[in-house]
Amino acid sequence: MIARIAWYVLVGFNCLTVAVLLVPLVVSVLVSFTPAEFVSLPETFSLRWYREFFGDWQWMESLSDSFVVAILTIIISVPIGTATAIAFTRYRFKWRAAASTVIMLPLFVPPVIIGLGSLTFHRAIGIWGTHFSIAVAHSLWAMPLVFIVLQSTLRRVDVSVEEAAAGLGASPVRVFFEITLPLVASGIFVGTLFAFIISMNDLIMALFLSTADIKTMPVVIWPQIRYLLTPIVAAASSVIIVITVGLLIVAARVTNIRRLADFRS
Amino acid sequence: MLASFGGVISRLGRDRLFLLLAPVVLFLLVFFLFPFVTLFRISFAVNEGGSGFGEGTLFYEAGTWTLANYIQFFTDRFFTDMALFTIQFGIMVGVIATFVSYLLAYQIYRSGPLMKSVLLLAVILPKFTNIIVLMYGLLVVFGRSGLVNDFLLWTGIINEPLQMLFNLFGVLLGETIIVMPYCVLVIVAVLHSIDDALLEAAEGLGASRARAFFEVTLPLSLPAVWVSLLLAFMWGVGAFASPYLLGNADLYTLSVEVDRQVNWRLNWAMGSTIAYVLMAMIIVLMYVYSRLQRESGARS
Repeated sequence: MIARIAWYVLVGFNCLTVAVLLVPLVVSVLVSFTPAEFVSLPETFSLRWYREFFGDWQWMESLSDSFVVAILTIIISVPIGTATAIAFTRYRFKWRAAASTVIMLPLFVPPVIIGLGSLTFHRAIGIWGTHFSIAVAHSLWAMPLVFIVLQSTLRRVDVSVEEAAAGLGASPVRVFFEITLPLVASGIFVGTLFAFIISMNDLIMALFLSTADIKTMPVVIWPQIRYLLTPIVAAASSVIIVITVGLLIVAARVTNIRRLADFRS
Repeated sequence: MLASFGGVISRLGRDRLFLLLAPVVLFLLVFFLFPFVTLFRISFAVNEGGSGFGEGTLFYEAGTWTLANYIQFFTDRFFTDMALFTIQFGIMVGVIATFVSYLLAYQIYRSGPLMKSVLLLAVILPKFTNIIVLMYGLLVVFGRSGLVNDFLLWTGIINEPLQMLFNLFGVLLGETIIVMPYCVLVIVAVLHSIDDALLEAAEGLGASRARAFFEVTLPLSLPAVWVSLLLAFMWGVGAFASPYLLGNADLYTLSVEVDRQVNWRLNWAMGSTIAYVLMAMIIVLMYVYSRLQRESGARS
């Protein structure tokens, strides 16, 4: 009886937690449909702020900057993360556990430090102020994620299938492209989506690496949210939410979402 | 890239492992280690004190060595207070996020497949949306004339709107939401790895559900609690957006000060120094974390 009451209290508390997690997102989307001049829940539905958003060249430029950076992030992080995951799942070598910690290390470094470090270094080597510069910083977070996803996918692939193909005379390259790649395609796909999402949503590294010419969406939103709350920010945010959630749903359909929580192995 | 990579592999055969690892080693060396070295160097440079705008002005004087930045950091009350607050803030975030996450993780662990997916998605979603979107939503929901205040005023529970943002509550709220997903995932994973037979045995021996929880589930999931505390603490120490947007000047963390020094005062030398002090804190935490990981790994 007491256990049952305790369970209901727990569920009630968790409902509150989930509400606090989700309501801000839902509200951002709702506000974007307001016809009013100021931030408010809409009484009538209006696309006014979306028209302003898509009609403003500054916003459009930042949207395209964000896309270019995200795609470069994929190009950098997915091949590197995949190659590393293959090495970790198909070979035994010294210092493997330590090496794995080093690869994950960037995920634990505060983004402010990655941002400032990259800023000083990129200026020194002259790549500062390019899309590539921001993409490299984002890849420091995307690559370890691709690595984790691919590692768990590769572990589920039966090595004996690869060995059979090799035994039948296929070259290692052919084994990779004809056996391994199709079997881990879902992992690569999910890794790609993660890289894209990470890049689209990063504020802090981009804040340090952006210049007057190249500004990703979050960097453009940042000063507006601090000093003036207008519904156009909600519209801009909603565009990012729609892209992200859409991709997440695709990712969830490709793999089983529950597997993400299942990193026992 | 993969194609040419594969071509090289077949030619060299036995050096495959080396070739598979070369890209990641190069990448981390050049774009992760080198920036840290540069940052380290600059933290010992003399600050020029210029505005940084205009022709030829620098953000630090190249080629100079000084300990002045570190001395200033550790003697100036402004910085030491901020460092202390950052640590306190990390502890608060760690405790709150872990407590809330454990409750949610426990429900996820006990739920059916559908509920499990829904709850997990709800937890992961905020992590994959923009911090800014989250903050914006929080401003709208918890602000002075936000939804929560409107509701509480309407029900008559309060007569005056509550101040929920731009104070410690607001900053903790924002940061907890940011770090919670990781904590929940870590705890759920460990709860699932607990052998069901143990619980059945406990209940078979006559233990109540509650007793089985406190004597079997909770002790066995303690390693996850420690990992969660540390992760949340670590991210709390590095917090940036939440203190900046939802706090006030008294609630700024070291990360915020790095941004203010670098992007506002254009004092890169001081910014680098603060970044290094912050990094030192994180490294100590990382070490503790890896020790805990090893211990919990050895046990299960």
